[in-house]
Amino acid sequence: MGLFLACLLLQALLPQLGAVPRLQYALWEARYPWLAQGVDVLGLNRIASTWWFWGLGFTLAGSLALSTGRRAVAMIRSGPSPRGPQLVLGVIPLGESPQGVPAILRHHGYATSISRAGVEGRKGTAGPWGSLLFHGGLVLLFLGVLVSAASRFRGFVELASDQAFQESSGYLVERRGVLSPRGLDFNATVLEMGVAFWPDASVKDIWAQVVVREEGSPFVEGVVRRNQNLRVRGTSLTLGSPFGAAALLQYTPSDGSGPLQGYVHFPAESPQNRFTIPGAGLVAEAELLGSWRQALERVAPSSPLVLRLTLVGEGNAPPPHELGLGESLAVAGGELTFAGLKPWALFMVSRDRGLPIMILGGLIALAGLALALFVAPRWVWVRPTEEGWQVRGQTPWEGASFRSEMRRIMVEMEGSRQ
Amino acid sequence: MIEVAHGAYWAALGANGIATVLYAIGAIFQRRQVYQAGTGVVVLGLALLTASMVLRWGATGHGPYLGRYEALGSYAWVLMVSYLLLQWKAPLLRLAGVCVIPVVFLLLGAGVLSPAAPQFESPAMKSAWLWIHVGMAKIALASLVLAAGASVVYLRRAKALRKAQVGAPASGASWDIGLGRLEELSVRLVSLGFLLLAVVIGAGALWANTAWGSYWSWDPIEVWALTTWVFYGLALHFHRLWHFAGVRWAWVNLGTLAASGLLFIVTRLLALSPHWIYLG
Repeated sequence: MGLFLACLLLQALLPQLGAVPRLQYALWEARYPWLAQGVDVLGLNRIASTWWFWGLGFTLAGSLALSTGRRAVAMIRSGPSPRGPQLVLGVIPLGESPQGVPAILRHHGYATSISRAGVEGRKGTAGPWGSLLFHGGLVLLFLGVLVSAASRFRGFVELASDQAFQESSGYLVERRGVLSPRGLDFNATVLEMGVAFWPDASVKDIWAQVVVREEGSPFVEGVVRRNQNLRVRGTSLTLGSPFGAAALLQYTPSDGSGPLQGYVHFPAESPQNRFTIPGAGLVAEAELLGSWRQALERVAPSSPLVLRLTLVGEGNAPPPHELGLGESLAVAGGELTFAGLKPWALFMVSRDRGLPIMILGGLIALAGLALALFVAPRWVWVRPTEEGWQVRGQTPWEGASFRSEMRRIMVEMEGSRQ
Repeated sequence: MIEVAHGAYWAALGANGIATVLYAIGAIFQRRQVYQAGTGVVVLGLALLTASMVLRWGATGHGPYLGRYEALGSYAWVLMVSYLLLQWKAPLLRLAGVCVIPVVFLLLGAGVLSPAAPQFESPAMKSAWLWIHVGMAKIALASLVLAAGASVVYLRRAKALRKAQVGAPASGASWDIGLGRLEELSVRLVSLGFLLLAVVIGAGALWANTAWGSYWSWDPIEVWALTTWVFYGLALHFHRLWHFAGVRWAWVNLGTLAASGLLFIVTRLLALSPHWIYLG
């Protein structure tokens, strides 16, 4: 536990690769070069991905699972056992049998049992069960983490409205921190999309209507919103940031062959991009000007929408060309048309089989914790001794309220004698 | 409107500064009337801070949780409200202000030194999980600081009792009903803080998935929250399993808060975290 805590402390104090943006990490390296070098050599800048950290975590989890299992077996067999310091409250000469004592204890909420050894009262025994539930929930949570680490993936794809996943420029899947291209096992098409730009944006205004078709499954149509995922058979579709404008460009070769179409994406915070015009063999630098945000928000634009193009292959410092919506430009071997403007967004496709186990474990742990922390078990025994009936109490952690309750019980028992 | 709100924030800081001095004088010279006056000044400070937050909320259109200025102000507000309510219900805890009000003063002081320009709320922040995460974090901090305050009062009372019982058995102090209540209160407050911290971590993870695409990314603040939770878990184990009661529990409780606070400050100074966008 000490080693695990030390690892956590180091992770809180030292920036971790992957947890902080690369630029910030580079700035930190530049500020403390000697420290950064040492940290890198020792692997302390990637603790969460080291085998020894996970090994330590699962050794702890295994030990917790074993001790919780042993406790569970013991408690199922004989119920919660009394713990904590015993309080001897005094001796009362009640007579030959402790008549009235069970009624007094029951009045204070105790469940009582009478035997030759005397009267036993107990209450709040849900507390120890809560502690068991809490530790069991934590074990389940660790199990979920294990399943998640083995099976989880996240994929990212940029899509404009009316575009299918298969038509996108690339679908990259992240598994264990590594991004690689991969095929999807389902097809999804974005029918329509709504975007809004903050500070005036409302979350409700950022949405995408998506149609998903899986192998052998019925058609599923749904709306994915910002902060509200669409789930299809365990796979989540999340509408994320960034989003922006996608300009639809059409290149029509002069040889009469069919036109080529493609989207150029412009991020909302900086509407610039560089792309290659297929067929023409030209590289173009593009910038969106005018009220393109209003156009995407379907508000009447206050200034005309303009696409400024600088064709890089046209010699030194070529003058930029400005195209309005629907306008064309003659380029090498054909014509380039600014055919339309649509919103685009980054979608995240994720599947995590460990998540339901983790959520269940977390909920069980929370419920158990609430019981364990706020329901204190109490035991009272009234047993015969040579002097009379000895009254003893026990509770693991409550002090003042237990003592005052015991005092009240004693007063009532003494009262019942008269 | 923002300027008026900022002025009220400064005035609340001033009121809490005065209250801190009054509590210190009251505790050192054992003058009950002086720290009672301190409580009155805290009420005034709370009214000023409430006015500042209401005005700013009206002007910015979002709750007080964006940027260090707003975050620290709202933490201070929750702490003041919790302290005033608790000392009203349990007058035994009035002297806990000696520990609680300086924390409020430091929070407001750090807040007032931060950039006060309003920040815009991004769409990712409009989530119920974020409200739960932020709201529970404030109540958890208040519980843990109040628990530390109860432990401070416990230690002071235990010392006074020991002095009064010169010649009597040392264990006699533990039979004092006030001490028992203080210990129980501090344990219950730590328990509440521990439970709420678990909710804070869980709700934060669920929100982070929608905002950043990952439930847990070992961000320094996430790790700090988990470490604090483990610290308090250990403290509760000390109390329940190994029966660290009385003076020993009071010191364990104070030590845990001090260690968590110190770790936060060092993390803030050393580490990089996307949380600083929201916390300043």
